[in-house]
Amino acid sequence: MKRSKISEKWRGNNIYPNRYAVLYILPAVLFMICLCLFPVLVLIANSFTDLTMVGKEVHFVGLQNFKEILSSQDFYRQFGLTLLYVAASVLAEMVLGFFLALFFQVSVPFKRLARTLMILPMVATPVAMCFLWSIMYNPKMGILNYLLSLFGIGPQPWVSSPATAIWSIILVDIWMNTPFVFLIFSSGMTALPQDPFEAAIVDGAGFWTLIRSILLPTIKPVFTVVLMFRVIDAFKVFDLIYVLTGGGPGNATETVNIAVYFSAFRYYKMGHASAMALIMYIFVFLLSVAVVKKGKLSLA
Amino acid sequence: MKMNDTPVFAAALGKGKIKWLTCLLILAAVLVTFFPIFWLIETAFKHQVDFLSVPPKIIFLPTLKNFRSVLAQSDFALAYQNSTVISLFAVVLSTLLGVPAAYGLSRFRFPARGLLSFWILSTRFIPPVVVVIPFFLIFRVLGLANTISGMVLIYMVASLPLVIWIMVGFFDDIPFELEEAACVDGASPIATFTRIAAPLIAPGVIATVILALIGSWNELLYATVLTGPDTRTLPVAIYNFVSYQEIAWGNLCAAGVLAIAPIMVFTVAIQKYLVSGLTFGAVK
Repeated sequence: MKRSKISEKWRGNNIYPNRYAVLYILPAVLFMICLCLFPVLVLIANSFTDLTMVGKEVHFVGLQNFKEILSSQDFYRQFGLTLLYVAASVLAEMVLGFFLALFFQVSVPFKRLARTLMILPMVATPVAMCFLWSIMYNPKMGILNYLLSLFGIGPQPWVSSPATAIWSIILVDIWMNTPFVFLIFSSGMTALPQDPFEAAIVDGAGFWTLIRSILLPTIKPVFTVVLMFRVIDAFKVFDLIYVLTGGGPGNATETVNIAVYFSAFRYYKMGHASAMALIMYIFVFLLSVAVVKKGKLSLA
Repeated sequence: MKMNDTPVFAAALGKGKIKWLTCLLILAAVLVTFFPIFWLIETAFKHQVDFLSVPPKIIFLPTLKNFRSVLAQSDFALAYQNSTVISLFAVVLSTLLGVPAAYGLSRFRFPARGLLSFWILSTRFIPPVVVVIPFFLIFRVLGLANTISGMVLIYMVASLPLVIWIMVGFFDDIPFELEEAACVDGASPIATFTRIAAPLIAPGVIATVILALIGSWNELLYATVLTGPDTRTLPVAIYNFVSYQEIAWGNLCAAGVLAIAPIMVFTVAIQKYLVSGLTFGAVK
């Protein structure tokens, strides 16, 4: 993204010698090498072994874990489910968040209070929120089926049926993360210059023309960034699924993350789990590199 | 621009009858987002008979029974304490390391700076399931599993890059001329940072600290794998609540309210900073 003018002006002009940069940066970088780089190396090393927590000896097995994973039906089902989850939740969040932000540009009473209340789902503890939703989803006593019955709609199984479980989790994801999209779009829209819109109105442009031809192209950079964040965060989702369904019923909501967790900490197949986690990481990493390049997103 | 002016492109939504429709839609959105949390709080104050009734009771006799029984469990109080200690230490350490690093990245131009920036940014993309497996194995060897210090370390995996990344945005936005003037007047590099630059980004630090605190406070996966009975954090305690005591909904809701209470207070109190932190983290 573009930096402010101030930073453009002095770009490249260090007032102090570069050795001071080392003083500021090195401690953090050393920590990050230990915390972020080293573990990934350990993961890579383990992915070529048959490490388990029960066996005594560890063997180097080459690419066997990867072959096993990439030739199993399960992995493709889990991966497909992950893609469905990401696509459906992010699409809904982007559309809802955009229009909410647009509505919020209008000056309405109690706007500040409304915004505060809307931010809460994204900061509230997800475990608590997931249990809250599973209570609301309860087929017998949950409030959602009661609300539906007021409209004459019959009870839904929600998370307890394989057909609806994944969609029920996606719904919670949308509830939780639309506020983030809304918030970022909101501040993006507030910062826009008004002149192009005024000029277009003089030329007789209607509301939809303004939105389509001027607003959307102008906030495209914001759009790209929000999309990237949401996609990557949706690929990382674990707690929602773990708490709401634990991957079930059966394996109806078993995404790659859940499968990795089970493989590692239920069956203690650490080598296998490491390989699966590594595949996932490479995929997410390549995806983010592509988006970072395309969105020209960087630290500076 | 003030919050109360409607920008030109949205003016059509704020005129005459359409304004009513806009207000109605916003109200609907607020209801949908806030209703579940409201319902959580309400249920926490209800007696068992009241929250099991269909249709739901709107008027009921509030009780503190649920809160009392949750707080009476020593597990829960311990988890609350653990979460507080772990989150605070992780975030304070991340801030102490991250703010100078952000300053260095923002103010100096050196070889491989772009690569370093990208690497820091990219750590935000690592899925937690990728991190937790090696940490589990490393912690077993180092004896850090089931310890508070181990949890502090693993929460820094997420909070340190977050702090660096958001703070670079804040540093880039403050005028460089002040530091230049200080330098010309003979201030040492350290003094320029601690006396001139750091105080200017104090609001940014607050926003970042709160965001990082919320992240650590809410985290479940690392805590599930790496804590034991003594070091359990709040999300794990809440998770276990359900497995052990099937339908104690009232208690569960009370526990949920206690978990989100500090976050809600922070969110309401420093909403402006929080939003700027989030926006810097995302848009910058």
